[in-house]
Amino acid sequence: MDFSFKINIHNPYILLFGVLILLAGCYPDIDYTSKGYTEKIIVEGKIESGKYPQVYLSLNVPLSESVDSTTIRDKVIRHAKVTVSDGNVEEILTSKWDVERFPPYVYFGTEIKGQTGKTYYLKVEYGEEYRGEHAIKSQTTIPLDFQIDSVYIEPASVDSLRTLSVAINIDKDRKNAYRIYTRKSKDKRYIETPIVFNSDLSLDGLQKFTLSPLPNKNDSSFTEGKYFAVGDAVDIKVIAIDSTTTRFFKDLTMFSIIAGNISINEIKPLSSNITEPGFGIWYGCAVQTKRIIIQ
Amino acid sequence: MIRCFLTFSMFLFCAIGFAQARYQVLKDTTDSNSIVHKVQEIPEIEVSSKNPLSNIKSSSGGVFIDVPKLKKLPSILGDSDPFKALQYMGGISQASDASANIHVRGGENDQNLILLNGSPVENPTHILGLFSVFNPDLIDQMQYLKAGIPAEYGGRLSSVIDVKNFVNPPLNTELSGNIGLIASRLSLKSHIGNQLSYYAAARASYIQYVVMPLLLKLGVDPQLTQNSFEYYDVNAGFNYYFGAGTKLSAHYYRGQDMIQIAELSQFSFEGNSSRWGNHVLGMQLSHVFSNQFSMLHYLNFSGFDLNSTMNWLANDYRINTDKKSYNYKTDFIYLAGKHNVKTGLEASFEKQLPITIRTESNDGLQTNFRYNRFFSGAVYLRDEWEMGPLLLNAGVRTSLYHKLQTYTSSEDSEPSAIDKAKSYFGLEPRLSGRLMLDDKSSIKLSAGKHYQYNNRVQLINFGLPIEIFVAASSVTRPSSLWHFSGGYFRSLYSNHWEVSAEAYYKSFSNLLEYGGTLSDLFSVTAIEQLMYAGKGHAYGTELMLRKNFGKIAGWINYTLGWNYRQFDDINDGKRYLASNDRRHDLSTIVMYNITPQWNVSATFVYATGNRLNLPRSWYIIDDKVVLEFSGYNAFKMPDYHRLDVSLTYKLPRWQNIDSELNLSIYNLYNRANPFEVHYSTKTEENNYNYKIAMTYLTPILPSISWTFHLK
Repeated sequence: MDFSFKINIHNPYILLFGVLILLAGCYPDIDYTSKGYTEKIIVEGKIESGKYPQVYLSLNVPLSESVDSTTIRDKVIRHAKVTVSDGNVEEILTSKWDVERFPPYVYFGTEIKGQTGKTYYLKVEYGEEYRGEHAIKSQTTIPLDFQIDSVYIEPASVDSLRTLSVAINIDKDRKNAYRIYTRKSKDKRYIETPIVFNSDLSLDGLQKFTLSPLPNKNDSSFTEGKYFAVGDAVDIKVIAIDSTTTRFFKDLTMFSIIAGNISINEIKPLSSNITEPGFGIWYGCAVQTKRIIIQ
Repeated sequence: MIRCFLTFSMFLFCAIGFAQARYQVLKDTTDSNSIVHKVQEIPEIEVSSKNPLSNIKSSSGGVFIDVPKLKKLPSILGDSDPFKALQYMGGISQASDASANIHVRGGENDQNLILLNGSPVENPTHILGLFSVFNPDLIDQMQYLKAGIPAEYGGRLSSVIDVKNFVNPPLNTELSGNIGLIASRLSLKSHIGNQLSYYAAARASYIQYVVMPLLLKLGVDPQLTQNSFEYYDVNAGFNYYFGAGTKLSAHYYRGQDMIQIAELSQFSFEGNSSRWGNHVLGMQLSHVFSNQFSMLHYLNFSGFDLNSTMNWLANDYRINTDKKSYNYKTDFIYLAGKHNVKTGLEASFEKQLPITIRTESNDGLQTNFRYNRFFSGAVYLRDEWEMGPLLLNAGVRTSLYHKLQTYTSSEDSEPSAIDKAKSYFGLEPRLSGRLMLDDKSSIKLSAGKHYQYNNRVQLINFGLPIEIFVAASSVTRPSSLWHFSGGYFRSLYSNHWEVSAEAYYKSFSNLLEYGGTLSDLFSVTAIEQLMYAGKGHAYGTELMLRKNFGKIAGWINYTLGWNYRQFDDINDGKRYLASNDRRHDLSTIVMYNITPQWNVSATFVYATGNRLNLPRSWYIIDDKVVLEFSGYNAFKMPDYHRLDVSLTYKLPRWQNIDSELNLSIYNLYNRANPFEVHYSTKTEENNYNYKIAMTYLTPILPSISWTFHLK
């Protein structure tokens, strides 16, 4: 996973100027103990149209606690009872390790498949305390179906590279937003074009988005960045999400990027749709995919 | 401003910080404007040095800055900066290292009225706050008012910092300058005949030509040296004496900062550049009708703009703010017996763009804030009345504010409540008094109400002045303040020593904080919708011990203060400590004249660390690390302290050039004072180790500079 998030995205100015005047220094040892730590159950669950639900559960980590690849597993919740219902059918999810992501343990369904326009209910029971009426709950509705209108391949500054754009016909009244992913043939999984602000609920009509997947900086092909190589087969995946989910992911993108910078006057928690002590998001999404060969 | 004391019609004049001159003064007064224009007319009278009792006798909580003395203080990077040296005054706390944000008695940075020859200056610093925008060669007078602010000043809550350039026209042509490692400056003051005097000055940095090649030789990453950090400013102006007590003067200031970052791939950060600067143009016409009555008119333009481009997460962002202010002010001064009456009016039109952020990558994604336009005005009257040992300064200021209806995109649609015109009226009584207990001691009391209709709310705090302009509207009411202050002042040992103790209490209403997320900026059309309003109060005590004369002079200022905020929407509505809460604040200055040629000085500052928000836990969701924060401003940064020393050698006069060499060492014992605090993390695969870490900018910093003055 990409753990090299942009922790000091604003600090380059500071760092640069520090070096500039031969001054830069860093004292990492500020005496700091987390005050008022409370345990939260972090929930990340989704149900895509045509697919079974997936739920990941973990615990938050006190800032003062060092965690390595062994102890991080203590923060993964592996013994919860996770139930998904569509109002008629109820299914207890089964679970397995999923080392491709964090938390590396997934609860998944085999019975209920997502359908556009339908509402799904999530219930998480964990430990002795969070059971029955104290269980952690949420609900979400998968947005209505949509279509990818067209894909544009345009030349880049280098002959062998191209830029990609995708056009989607957006109905403003639905109040949906869109997240866009691409998967090049070398990629193990889909990489998102950071939405930041481009999944705007106020957009209407045919909208064209330039694809610029943000790769892992440790990736050797990092410099290739947002371009696509001629001859490559690329999968494009567009998902529609509702306004609650949009809000959550917009804030998440911002929060995680600016997380390293205490100078931003922004300490509001994310807009979770999970009941306490749970925290996170349970969302449905309508999905469209397209595979193209870069010409 | 200038202070003077009475010896009937002729008396000694105490001008702080500029060449001695002789002239006639009308009356004992704290009011300079009534006499400034006399300087040129009667230039024959011997003038003493600074009045040793000025602080004891003055009615207000003002401090007249001894500009030449402040220029002798140790400075950063070889440049003496009287404005930056304000941090050594009581009641002022500096935000952090390498920052010129000024917080006076618990006030916010945007609550200081900073004037250059009467024109407001929006952003008083260059490059990360290392230098002020005021050219030290031109500053003749500085006044700092932290309490008992008289009725002629308004529009800002906490303080007045009044900088005056070129008050004393030169008798000869003068050329001054300074050559340093990072920047140099040159100024010319001259006159044509007896009536016209003028000045021009310029400063510029050349980091990329001097420091960058040096860094390259020292093995610094060449990529870093492609970046540039530069500033320049220019000043020009003139005084014209028509005779018969009429003077016209004008000044112009333009300054700009430029920061460019070529590429920082590890941050996905490239092609970044920022420019910002102030623009000031002002005219002043004064006329003396008689020994009792005089009049001044001011016409000012002030502007500030910022343009910043950032490539961030594969998107190009353009950030832009813009503010323009047109101001007219007139003062009438009437001196009668023991009364010094001043009255006047002020009218301003301001136009400002709160902030614009737009992305270049995808069309149509930008903030939708529109220019706000508003009028503000004030009428004031105050009387300074001396009754034996009692000196009263009583006045009232009535301020008016009218926000014009915001332009809406469609003419058909009815403007929303927030876009509609809105007016406010403020009554601002001011009262201050001084009672001489004997000829060496006095007590002073003051109380005042202040209104502020226009705020700058901080969005990002790391050197770039990215702030949002927020004016009063139907949803954001004007900020206001009640300020009460009192103190005891005494001189000792034939006025060689001076002690004082002051206490203050401030009650703020309708303070603003940005209450949205960054993404919220894109989803609303009125910035006011994203503001939280709350109240605050600050109280404390300031103690001062000062030695005025002798081979060794200096002072110690100590402030014990508390500063709280309370917002319904922050910290669950509970009271919290303000970010600039400083429990202890100490500044000490010692200056020693070893010989007429050698001078050494030292300053020591100590302050409780700023308050800030830090997280208490983190979690991962959607492959992203998110921090969960603790209580608002619950974390205190490490305490700030620093010792600076300066050694000046006055070189023998050569031709007509007076010059001196200055060696200063900033942060002598290399204290790592935090510039900012952030989270550090190990980047190794599957190791998650988050810690609080800090960046600091200024360890021990020797510098050398040569300053010259040619007459």
